[in-house]
Amino acid sequence: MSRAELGIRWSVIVAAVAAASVAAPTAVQAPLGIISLISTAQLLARLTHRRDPVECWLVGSVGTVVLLILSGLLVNYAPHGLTTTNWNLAWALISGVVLIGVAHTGPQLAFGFSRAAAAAFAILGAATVGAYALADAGVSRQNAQPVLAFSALSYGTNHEATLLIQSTNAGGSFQLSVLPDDANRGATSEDVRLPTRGVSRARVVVQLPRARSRWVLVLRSTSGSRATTRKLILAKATNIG
Amino acid sequence: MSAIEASSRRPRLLGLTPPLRGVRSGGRGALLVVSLSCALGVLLQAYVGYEGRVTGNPPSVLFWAGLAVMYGTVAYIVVSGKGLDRSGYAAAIVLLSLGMQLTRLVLYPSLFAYHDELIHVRVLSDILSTKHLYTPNSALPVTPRYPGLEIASAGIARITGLSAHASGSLLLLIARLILSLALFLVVERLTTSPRAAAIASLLYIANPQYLWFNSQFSYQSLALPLCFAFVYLVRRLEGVRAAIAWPCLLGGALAISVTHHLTALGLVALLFLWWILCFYTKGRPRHLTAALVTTIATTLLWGFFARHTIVHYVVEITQNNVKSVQQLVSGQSNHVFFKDTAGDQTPVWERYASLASVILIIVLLPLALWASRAWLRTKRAPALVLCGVAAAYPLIPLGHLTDATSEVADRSSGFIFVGIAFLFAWWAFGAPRAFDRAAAGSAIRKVGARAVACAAMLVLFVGGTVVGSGPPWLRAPGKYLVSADNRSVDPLSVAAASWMGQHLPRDQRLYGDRTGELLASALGKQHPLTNLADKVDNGALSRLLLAPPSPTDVTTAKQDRLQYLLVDRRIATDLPHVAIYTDTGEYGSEHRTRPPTKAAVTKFDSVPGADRIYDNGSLSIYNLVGLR
Repeated sequence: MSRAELGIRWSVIVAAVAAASVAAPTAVQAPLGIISLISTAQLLARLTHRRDPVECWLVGSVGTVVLLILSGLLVNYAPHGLTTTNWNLAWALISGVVLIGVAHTGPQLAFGFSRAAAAAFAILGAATVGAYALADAGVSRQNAQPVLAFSALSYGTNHEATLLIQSTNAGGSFQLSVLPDDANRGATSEDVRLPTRGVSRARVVVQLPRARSRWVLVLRSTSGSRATTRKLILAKATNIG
Repeated sequence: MSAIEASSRRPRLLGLTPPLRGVRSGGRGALLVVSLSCALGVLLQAYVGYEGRVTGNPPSVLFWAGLAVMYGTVAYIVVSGKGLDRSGYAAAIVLLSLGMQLTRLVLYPSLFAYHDELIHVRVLSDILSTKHLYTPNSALPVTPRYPGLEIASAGIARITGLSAHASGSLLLLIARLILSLALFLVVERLTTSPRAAAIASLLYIANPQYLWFNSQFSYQSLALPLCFAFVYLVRRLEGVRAAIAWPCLLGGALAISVTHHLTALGLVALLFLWWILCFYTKGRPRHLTAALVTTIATTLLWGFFARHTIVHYVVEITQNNVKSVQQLVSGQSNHVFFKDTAGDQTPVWERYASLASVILIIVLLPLALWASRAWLRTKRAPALVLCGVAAAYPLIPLGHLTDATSEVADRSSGFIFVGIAFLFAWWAFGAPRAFDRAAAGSAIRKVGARAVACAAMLVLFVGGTVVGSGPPWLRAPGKYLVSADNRSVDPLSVAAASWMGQHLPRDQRLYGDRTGELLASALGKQHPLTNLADKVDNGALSRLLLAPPSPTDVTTAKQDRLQYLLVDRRIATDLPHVAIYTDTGEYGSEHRTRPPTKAAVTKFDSVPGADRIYDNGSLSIYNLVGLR
């Protein structure tokens, strides 16, 4: 192995660990981590002294997966377990050991692509990027479906309730009513407003009538053509969050 | 001197040499066509997913067209055998395998949505959040004890900084790479024909589990490729010293044993058969005994480690299968072909395609097995093992006679089709050259033979995919359906599960419908009550969701120390698409003709002590702590 190659490979190992340890952005850490994995996979294949590219790819990928699994089983018992730092140190150790082993013994290997194969995989890669973009657009469209969620985070303590209203493209004006469960007597209400579009949330603290131990809280839209109602039924003092 | 040998003399940066320099010019064109067809197939599947989400109905014509274009194109190029050399065949198979996997991933680009996937997502998410393995998972208690898939995914996530979903997807692609290359090399070694190896890989893709179950984020999707690679490794380590071979075999066997119980057992059976046959063939590979010993040892060792979960799991599967067979024998089976329990039917052409694929294999299998007597003469033990595995094929269609056994039969196809793929590929394109003999003669006869072979392979692929993929609604995203696994995962159910993850303490005892529970576990980090993990009686517990109001409801909730009840009121609008709303043995599952009443799904509104703490219009969450 040439000095240049050795230098590049050590740099990749160190850079991957450094990027992970300083919590670099994914745009930096992901390519470095992937290159580190591929680099070790390639070295594993070289350890076999085979010149068959098909076998090299197989040995490289199997070796990487098996080493990940076995190292995970061991790192689990390290102090603090499978943390990012431990994972990266373990992988750097594995990569370093494999690199040292190959540096002395490993031959040159057929582990690359011809231009034809590289072009073929590049086409599939480009199509994958396009397909993911299209799929993501579909997910965004589906996630734009209006969702209005009404929930209680805590209630009863000091006769107060902390409520959460979460909206995805379902905002507008709402009336929040607090009713004793047996009648409308003693009802209190207040108005809440959320942006009509996009994702929004509002945390509301309401007073619960003291004479009762069970309350019905109704959130009713007062804008738009479709009436939207959400209902909570609360009793006793509970802090769930 | 070959091009590879010549080039390997020149040191190159990063040890790369141009291995595929030998690809002929025709091969370049063929690879280009393969990649374009795969690219088109992946794009079409993404469009199917897009349309399904936007309109609610994924276009089935485009769905099948995309898959058929991919498979049919590669089948034609490989069958015609023009232009590709060995590396070209391997590249074509790898492109198709990766393309097929990508067609699954682009349908759900941001979330693993299938039933088993959500179970494994919880295991992965526990590893990432707790930083330790083996956190209990009540949805399927055996899964945290076999965490190979999740360990590798977590490793990729921590080393690359990618999300859990992206890391899992990347691992699935690597698994597909391993599977395709290992199968190619195993068959090539036995037949000495790269073309036969490519055909075998194509035939394996036609197995009912390939495109669906074995492409999911689930433990067998990784274990099966590792298993194939292990078998190849046993042969490949032939000339290696024991001091190197034993650790390699031990590491491989341990990785498989840690990943999936049934695959590890299957590998033990395969190696044992091979080892036994070697007494007849008198040519045992040098490290076969070591492979068998390490595999048995790691499987037993890990099985012992996981004994508290695996025994109960296997016993329950066995009991369900025995019960199904008893019902079939006594004429009480209510299994219906090509129709789900909500009444949705498989299109007629798909039924014929699946039947045609089964009939085709059953007709050809005896002929190929008869020809395989040649292996008895040459005494190649691995080939004889694979022929024996192929002979077990009738178990797959027979298993489909009942609900419970059909699941087991389908799962076994991942193994049995290795035999089928090898046997048919060897028979047609290996030494017997049945295909070449049929194609010999005029150009018209040659073209006709190719067309027939490609059509037969396409029938096997489409038919096998229909058999393995289940009802049509399961195949792609679309409008919400009641109790329909991936089709029940929608923004409303995800919103409720995410709320639990953000606002409830972890691992609260919760009960809900089948998909709601899985989402509550995977995204909400809750502890769904199950018979496997908590020994609860689902017949009684499911009454909380499905039965009319009853005084026993409060007693049941108290007995099972239920803390939260997740109610998807939409279950009162339709029958379940997967036969059950919650789990096996639920209330009313025998002879159900109508969904639960509205009163059943809203009854806890009037139960004193039950608080409705979440409502998004379809899903409600009740806090039942006040019932105690």
